[in-house]
Amino acid sequence: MGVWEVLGIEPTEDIQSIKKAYSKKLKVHHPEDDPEGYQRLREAYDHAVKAAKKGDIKETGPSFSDENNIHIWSNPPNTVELTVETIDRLEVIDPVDEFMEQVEELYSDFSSRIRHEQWSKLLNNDIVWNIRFKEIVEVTLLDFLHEHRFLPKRVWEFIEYCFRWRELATEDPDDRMEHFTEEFYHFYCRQLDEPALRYTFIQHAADLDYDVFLNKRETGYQALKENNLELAGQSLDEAYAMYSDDPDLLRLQGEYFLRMGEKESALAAMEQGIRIYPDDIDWYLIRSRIWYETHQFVEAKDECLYILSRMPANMGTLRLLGKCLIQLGELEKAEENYLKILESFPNDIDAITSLAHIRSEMVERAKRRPFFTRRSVIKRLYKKLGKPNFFGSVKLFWMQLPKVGVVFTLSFILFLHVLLSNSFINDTGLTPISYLKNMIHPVELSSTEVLNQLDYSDIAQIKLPSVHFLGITEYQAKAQTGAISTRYNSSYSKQRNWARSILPTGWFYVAKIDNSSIVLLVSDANQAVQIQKSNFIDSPGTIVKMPQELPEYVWEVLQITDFGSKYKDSKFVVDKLIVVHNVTNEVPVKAVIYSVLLLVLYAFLLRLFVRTYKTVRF
Amino acid sequence: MAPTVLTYNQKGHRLFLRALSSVCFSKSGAYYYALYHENLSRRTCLFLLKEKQITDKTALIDTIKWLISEGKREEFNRLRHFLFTFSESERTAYIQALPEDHQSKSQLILVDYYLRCLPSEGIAAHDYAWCILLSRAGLKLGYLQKDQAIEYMLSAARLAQQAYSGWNEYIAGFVAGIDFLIPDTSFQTAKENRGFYTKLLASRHSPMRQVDWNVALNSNE
Repeated sequence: MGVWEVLGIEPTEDIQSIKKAYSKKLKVHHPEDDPEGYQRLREAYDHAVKAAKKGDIKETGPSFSDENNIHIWSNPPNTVELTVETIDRLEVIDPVDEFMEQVEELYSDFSSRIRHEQWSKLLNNDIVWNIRFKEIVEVTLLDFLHEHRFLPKRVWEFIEYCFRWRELATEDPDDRMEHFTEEFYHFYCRQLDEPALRYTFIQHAADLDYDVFLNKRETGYQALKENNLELAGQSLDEAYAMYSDDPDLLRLQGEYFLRMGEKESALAAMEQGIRIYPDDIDWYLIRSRIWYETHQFVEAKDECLYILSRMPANMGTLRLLGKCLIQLGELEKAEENYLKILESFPNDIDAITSLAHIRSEMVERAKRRPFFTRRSVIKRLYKKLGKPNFFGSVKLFWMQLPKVGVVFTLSFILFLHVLLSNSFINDTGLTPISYLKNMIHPVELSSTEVLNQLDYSDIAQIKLPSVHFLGITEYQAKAQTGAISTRYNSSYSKQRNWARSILPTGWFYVAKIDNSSIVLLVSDANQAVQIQKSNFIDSPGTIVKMPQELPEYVWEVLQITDFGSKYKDSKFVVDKLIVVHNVTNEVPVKAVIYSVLLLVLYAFLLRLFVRTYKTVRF
Repeated sequence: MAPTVLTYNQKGHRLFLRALSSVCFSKSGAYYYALYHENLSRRTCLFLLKEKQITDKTALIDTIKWLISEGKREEFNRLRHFLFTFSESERTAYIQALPEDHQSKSQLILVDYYLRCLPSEGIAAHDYAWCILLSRAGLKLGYLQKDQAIEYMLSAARLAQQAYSGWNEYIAGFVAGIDFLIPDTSFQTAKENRGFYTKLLASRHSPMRQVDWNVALNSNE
């Protein structure tokens, strides 16, 4: 005997038919009265469901001997015994059938169906809690609910309370899921978990095929959740054509029309909803949205105020009211409204950005006020916007300044300055500052008076037509300790002429200014040769202190040389010496490169500061 | 309608794009970057790509295209449509009743919080802002040609312009995006960057105050 024969049906892929057959046979082969028959039936059922799911119903599956089946199918050999057993079975079958008849009766009466008390009463029937019938009742009821599923949420919750179908399916999916189609299981879970639509508003509808209407409404509802707008629109339209006064359907239609951008239709649906059931707040919530989106700000504002009179803490409406007030130019009221939101939700980004927008608009308005009154208003508004005071700005500047960049640039600038200075001194003998000073305010050493006014380190332009080389040269030597010692050689003196074949580091000259004689030191060999040839100096020079032993050298030379007689009548300046610098017209290349680099770095540093300043200003 | 000629060099376009991507920065140095992020260093660009787990040119282009066409807004909008189907009272009760370990509870709380605050494109600002910033980084790193990067940036800019009505709505959409992606129901992003967002909207020198939200982005306009 094959599985289909055990189930008493032709091979089929329709799981519902298999389930129906199983539940029918279950009444005959109860697990307690006929464990073997139940086992056989259960195996046949499992195999049939699997085969149907695979789409291979021709598969033979397990076969069952006639002997095992004798109590069910064959003509019984012992008529009396079988009759007794059949009578017993009938006694067993009756309560389940009776129960299911009550279920069907309850479901078919819509007004009773939607009352959970009725289901509570029915499901508290002894047969549901009787261990002998529980499985039969469950399978039969579940099978019934697959086809008759439009019940209020509370009824579904009570069914789950009684049978724990979902709980058991979660614990042992393989076993329990066999009784559910996948689609129905999801439907069942949705009824338990998600908000459901109401049934009470359609109970008085005349001549309405409730299940067809509810099926269309439910399809539209699910499609809208998944944003399947085509299916949602079609299903909701069909439902509306059947019955147009269901508030939930109208709300769904309103939402659908809004998503489709059909605002007028959405508004019409909301207004119809208000006529039917004005207590629902959703009409007003959706209508305020529509009015705002269609730029009817006065109506939207009034609607928001009405909603807030019923739901004072409704965030969405507070926000929408704020937006309406901004659009209507009522900035003070809008500000007050957003501050109220921030009291409850201090980090609400909509309120934060809207307040910034409102207050900057207020600043623009204030700028149109008379000069004397606007200043304090603008200052107060900027303070509200978070503009820091002077010290706050300095602190912010310091915080925002890219310190690593600044330190790096400054270090490089300092280094380049040292390089530039050394290069300049090497090229000209002057520091860049002295050079610039001489360029800007040149002092010509033309008289004794000027010489007397000049102090040590001062620079002057030396322009002397007649100079004489004293034959005195300077030699600098570096000791092992690093100290530099200076010695002088006088070629006219026997005692002081000691240097042989050594290049001097300076050559001393003498010249007359008015009636004074002044000693000059030239450190550049080429310049010294040039002067010696021309007896003429036209270069900048720095006034320095005369070395202590030098006057003696000079005095001796002037005594023993012919040209010394020219200086006998003059006053010899013993405390000042002029160091002559070699400034040529040639461009000092290194100094120029360093200067350009410095300019670039200064520009970069300035840019950093300017950028930081721009981030601080409000 | 796509422009026939890319007009990125127009001052208004540059400012608009800079303003759109300025929101991607946060905390103390955010406003500095908001003003000067048009020419980011290579190091910063690499850091940005690493943050988004982008390792090469192909991944960058895929990410940019995904941000323009789909982005994280798809998930937000899916939950938004789901919640908008419920009535006000049912929606609140439904979210409150969700178990704490429900995988989408935080996201549902956030979507509900921003439900009536954002326009229909929801958190698209987050997708578009990052699309522009990543295009900049791609251009700097040589992953994108200049024309290609500009095209991506302008596409995102046009979509942002259509999706939001102004700068404050755009910032709200961006911050909602961050909250949704974390997800963070304590709204720390708004708390930590309150001054930054206010300054972006209110300071006369902010890029957002220097360009109109409705600036024409097509060459023939």
